[in-house]
Amino acid sequence: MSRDAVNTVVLSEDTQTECFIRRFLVKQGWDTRKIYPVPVPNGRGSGSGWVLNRFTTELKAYRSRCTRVATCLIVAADADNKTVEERVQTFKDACAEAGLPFRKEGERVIFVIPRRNIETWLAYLRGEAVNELDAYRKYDYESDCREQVVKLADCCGRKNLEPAPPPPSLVATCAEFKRIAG
Amino acid sequence: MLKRVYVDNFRCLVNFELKLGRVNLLLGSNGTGKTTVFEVLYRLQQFVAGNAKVLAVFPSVDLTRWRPTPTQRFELELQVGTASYEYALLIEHDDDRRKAKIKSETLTMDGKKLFHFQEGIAELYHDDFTPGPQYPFDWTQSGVAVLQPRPDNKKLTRFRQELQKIIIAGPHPMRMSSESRDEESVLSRNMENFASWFRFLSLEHQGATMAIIPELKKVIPGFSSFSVKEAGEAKVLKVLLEQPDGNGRPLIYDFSELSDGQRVLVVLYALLFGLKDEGVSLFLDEPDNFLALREVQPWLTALTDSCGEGVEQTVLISHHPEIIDHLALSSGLWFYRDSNGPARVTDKPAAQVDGLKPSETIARGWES
Repeated sequence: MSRDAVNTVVLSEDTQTECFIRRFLVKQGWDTRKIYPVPVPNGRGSGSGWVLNRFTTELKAYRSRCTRVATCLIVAADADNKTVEERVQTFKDACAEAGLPFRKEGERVIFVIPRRNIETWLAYLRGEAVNELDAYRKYDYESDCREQVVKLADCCGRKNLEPAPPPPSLVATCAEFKRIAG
Repeated sequence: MLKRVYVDNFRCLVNFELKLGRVNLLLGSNGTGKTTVFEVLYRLQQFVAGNAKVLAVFPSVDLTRWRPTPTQRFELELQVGTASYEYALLIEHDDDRRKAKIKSETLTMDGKKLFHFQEGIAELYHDDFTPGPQYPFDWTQSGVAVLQPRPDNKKLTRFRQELQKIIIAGPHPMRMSSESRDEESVLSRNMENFASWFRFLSLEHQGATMAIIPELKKVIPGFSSFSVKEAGEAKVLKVLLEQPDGNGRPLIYDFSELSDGQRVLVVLYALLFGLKDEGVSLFLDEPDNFLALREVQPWLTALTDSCGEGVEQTVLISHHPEIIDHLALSSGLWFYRDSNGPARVTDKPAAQVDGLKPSETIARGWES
């Protein structure tokens, strides 16, 4: 098999979120060649429905693979008008419908659920006061998020999200990352 | 960044307009005009930045076959920082198609003239857009191409420089030679002069080789470094690979002894990392040919990440499912052509099919 097989799959509902996660992982020391972003069918806005449909396929693939190699599955979907817990519940429901157990203890599967969406986090990391209900501006190009990636990595290094208060959905994601860190 | 291309009366391009963004994927069936667009750009580059004669670059054989019109029109819009250059060229072929002349050639910046040629008279404008000298000029070559850089024509010469920064090529590894007689600053259309271009890169861009090597170590097992060896009047590009056990002196191979796919990997990563921060634009025709499937996504990610960070703009032509699925719906420009008629392009497919990947839709011909 390939000497440098992918060990991290990123399943994301849009390319902005995928770009942000991938760049953050690389900043944290991940090998860019070992990250596979699942192609997002509609580019800048496939919607959480697409992620939900694909999730069980990727979870099965993860489980068949993780017994041999340390592998991660990162699932990213906007909370939109739901809470983070409600969005995670949709993935639990998808598992139940497919007859699969949901994420088990020790499985390196994490959920990145920005609320309202990734633009909320980007605005926060630009230093703007944000809430998780309003819509914030989108970048023209996904790679324009580079400074916010650096800011988040910096906050992670100091174990302190600044300025306070951070969006609760970002705090929840930081806790999720502990499942795959190290 | 090239924002717009307009072509009229060149092969299948009739009253054809293409608008480009930072990352672009040209999609479409064979023969729909994708490579023809690259061909036009390459020729305009040779004409405006390379000083070639009009008939050598735009022979009458490339007039659209089904149209009797003897004139061809080409327009470019090039964004440089906040400035917008517009270049327009009108060529007229004579009745027996053996001669051609420039009917008009105009370069403007933000709507103000920098150069204008018509009826054998060239008008030059200064950098503050005030009129400069008027003079009779050759009907068969670009007036923009021949002007020497001077303190008061920096805007005009900047256009030429920026146009030269567009690399238009498609890798054909079987044509790539290890041998090089000179350093060459321009990569040829099929990249057959890669060894000469690599020598230029090593000399002119300090650190380029050092930037490329770590990337190639990730993608080519055992890759160690490059060297250039004298061979009579020529020089030969060598690739050093580690011994199978990783010990001892590296094994030395001619560049041409690498596999086709490995040569393409070398070229593609050299383009990305050797020219980082040079502000080049990469217009690549089927770069994925010869690449292993495992190599396509990492290179594509490196490419799209570089856009806006060292690489100014990317335009790809590809039929590869991996590239299509990553870029088609966000950055796709869809080429169509009815029968043998003119090429057309839209920024959305005529149809999408729920539940299918873009590549699966295209494979079934259901996108149109």
